[in-house]
Amino acid sequence: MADYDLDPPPIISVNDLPGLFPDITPIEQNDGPNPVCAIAYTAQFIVAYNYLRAILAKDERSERALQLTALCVKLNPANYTVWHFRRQCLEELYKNKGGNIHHDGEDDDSHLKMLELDLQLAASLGGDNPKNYQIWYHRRALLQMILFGSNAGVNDKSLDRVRQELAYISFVLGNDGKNYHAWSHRQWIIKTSNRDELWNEEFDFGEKLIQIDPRNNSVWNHRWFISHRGQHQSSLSLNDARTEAQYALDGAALDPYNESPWRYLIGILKEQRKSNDSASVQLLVDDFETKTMDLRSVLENAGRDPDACSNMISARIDMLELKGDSDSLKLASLLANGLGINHDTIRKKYWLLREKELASRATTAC
Amino acid sequence: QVPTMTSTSSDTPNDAHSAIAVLDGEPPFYDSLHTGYIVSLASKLDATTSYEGAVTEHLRMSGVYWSLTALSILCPVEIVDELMGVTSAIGDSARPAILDWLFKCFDTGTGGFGGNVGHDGHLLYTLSALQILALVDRLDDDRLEKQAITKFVASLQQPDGSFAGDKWGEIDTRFTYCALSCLSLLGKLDEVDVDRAARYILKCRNLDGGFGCIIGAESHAGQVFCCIGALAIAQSLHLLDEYNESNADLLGWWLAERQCDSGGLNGRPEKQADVCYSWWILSALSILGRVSWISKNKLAGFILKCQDDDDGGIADRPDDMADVFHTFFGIAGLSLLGHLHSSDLVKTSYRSIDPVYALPTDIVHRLNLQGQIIRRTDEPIDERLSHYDVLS
Repeated sequence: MADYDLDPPPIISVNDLPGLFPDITPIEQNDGPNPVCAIAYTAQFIVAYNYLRAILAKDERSERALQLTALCVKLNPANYTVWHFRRQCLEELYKNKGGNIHHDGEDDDSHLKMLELDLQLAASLGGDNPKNYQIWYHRRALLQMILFGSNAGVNDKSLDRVRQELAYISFVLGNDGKNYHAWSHRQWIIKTSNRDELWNEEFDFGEKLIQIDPRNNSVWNHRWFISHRGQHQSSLSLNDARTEAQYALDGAALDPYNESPWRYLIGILKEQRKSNDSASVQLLVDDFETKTMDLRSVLENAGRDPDACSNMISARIDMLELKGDSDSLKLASLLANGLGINHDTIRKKYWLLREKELASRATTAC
Repeated sequence: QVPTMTSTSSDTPNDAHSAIAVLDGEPPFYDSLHTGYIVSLASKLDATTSYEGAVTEHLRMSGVYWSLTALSILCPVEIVDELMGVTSAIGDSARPAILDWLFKCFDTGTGGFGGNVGHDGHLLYTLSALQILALVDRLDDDRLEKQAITKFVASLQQPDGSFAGDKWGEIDTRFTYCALSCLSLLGKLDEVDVDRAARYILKCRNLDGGFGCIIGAESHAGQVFCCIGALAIAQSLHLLDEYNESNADLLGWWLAERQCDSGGLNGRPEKQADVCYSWWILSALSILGRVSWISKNKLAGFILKCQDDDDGGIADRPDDMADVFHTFFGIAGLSLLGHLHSSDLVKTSYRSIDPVYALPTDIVHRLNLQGQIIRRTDEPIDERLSHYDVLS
């Protein structure tokens, strides 16, 4: 797999501007003399943006305007208007090179090279700005053109290109495994590509990250996304649900204080209850409630009080509630009381409410 | 360094007190320090030598909204206007009136407001601009091109009901909230398919009852506020519950679980507490009628500890540097918690803030903005929300 190049394509400096734009009068933001003691960085900024204002006023979408926008986004990567204008310049240049931005025909490599260079620019800026919306959106816009423009879908050649992008995202996640933009971008490219190989490979990817940090909630969310093939309304088969529930329970066994695997488990069970026949689902719930009980010994062996593990207890309460019989609901009510009074007192009011509701349902249940 | 007041008036009501005790055992609320911080920020950022001003220039519209709304909680509107030069320029300053600058930010090409002069129109800054106008009761200003703005906002709705932020097409549930709030402020909600917008929001609900930026994205407290706020404006909170199961309960609990031992709130499991979530989670819980599910005093204590007691302003967490974004959300959070209330000790009465529109309650009332909240029978009635449609 090719290494993505994190060095940016060369960006002009402020000193190049008068030579590049001899015909342009920069437009200042405010009337008035330049400050005598401007901080060097800010002075650069002022000059670059004065030229940009002039170019924007002309709406000149040219090669030199493109170079100017590179300098301007380097100075302020969050300036969304500059990114917009850069894309407009790219569109214009792409068209002028004989390319069709909407991808109706065969692509000439030189057009793609231009877009790939822009991805390099975005990556070079992304390093210091991993949470910048504009940079991520720019990547998406470019990849949309490179990968998804034609009607042919993702072929084998572009599959490799997708994997390259996934490798870049993995790199970013290696620095911050919870980067919301990176995950969102990853989901977008997987779902838009919609290739079986990619869906399947994501399980391994997620698995590795959960090993590194089982408390990374983003990875658990990603697993849900992958196991459901990005469909928000579809429900897993009973067999798949069992696999996922076991995976969640195994994750919880590693660290019962971890919120994410318990949420995942309950999410799976609730989804099953809505979609599959009640007898099989009841068995599934019973099974996992028993297994959750067994986890108490994991904590006891570690010298911890299992009743104080509020994430585990609350998951057990949810499962008892799913079981729905009177005894289960009574026990759930008791457990809720324990949390409210002793073990999760910051959420006391919530647990006392829950205790009351469960107790009241217990009296009307069988 | 003493923050400079740009007002020619030497005496603001807040000079009468510098700090107000709001909670035993916690730092006081540094009322006048925060006022000074906010007021001096404007000239600080406008200075040509300001690096911070340069790199935030593109979102200045939102910065102004945060500043003005925070001040609006602490001061009556006439004082805010005087201190900040909203409707008319401050006497000895070269800076134009905020409203004059605001209208220069209107992008006639798109029909939306940009973040600053010369920027492309975007939903985020269009909302901030309309909110600023609402704050000073100028939504009827002749310069406001309501039709063009309505058309801009409506044009951003996608076939699936979602909204893009601008013509470039980035989709995010934040933009649904912005769009519905904009149109509600203009009285033009019927120009979009509100039901479809609400149903798209529901598609963004996740396994944990929370909401993300798009379908499948991880639940995040900021996005939850946008989604619940949008559903409140759309009066579609009933869509939360299905299959006889209360998803409002599940979401309420997910939000409550964001409270850390420090009392602060985080945005996702296993992340650090941050003052801005005080607003996003508290407002969502207010709409859902479940504020009592967190410990309000512990949260207030956390916010109070995030104040800068030298220069004013509030930071994301204790001992970090303050910024106007967290100052606004910290003050709004304390207000929503009910900790900033008029007292006999101070001559000024604080204004309460509305959780749906993030504007002072009296403004929401005056504009008769529509919305919906959930009221649980076991919760006391919140007078501040009494004008909304109630889903019980």
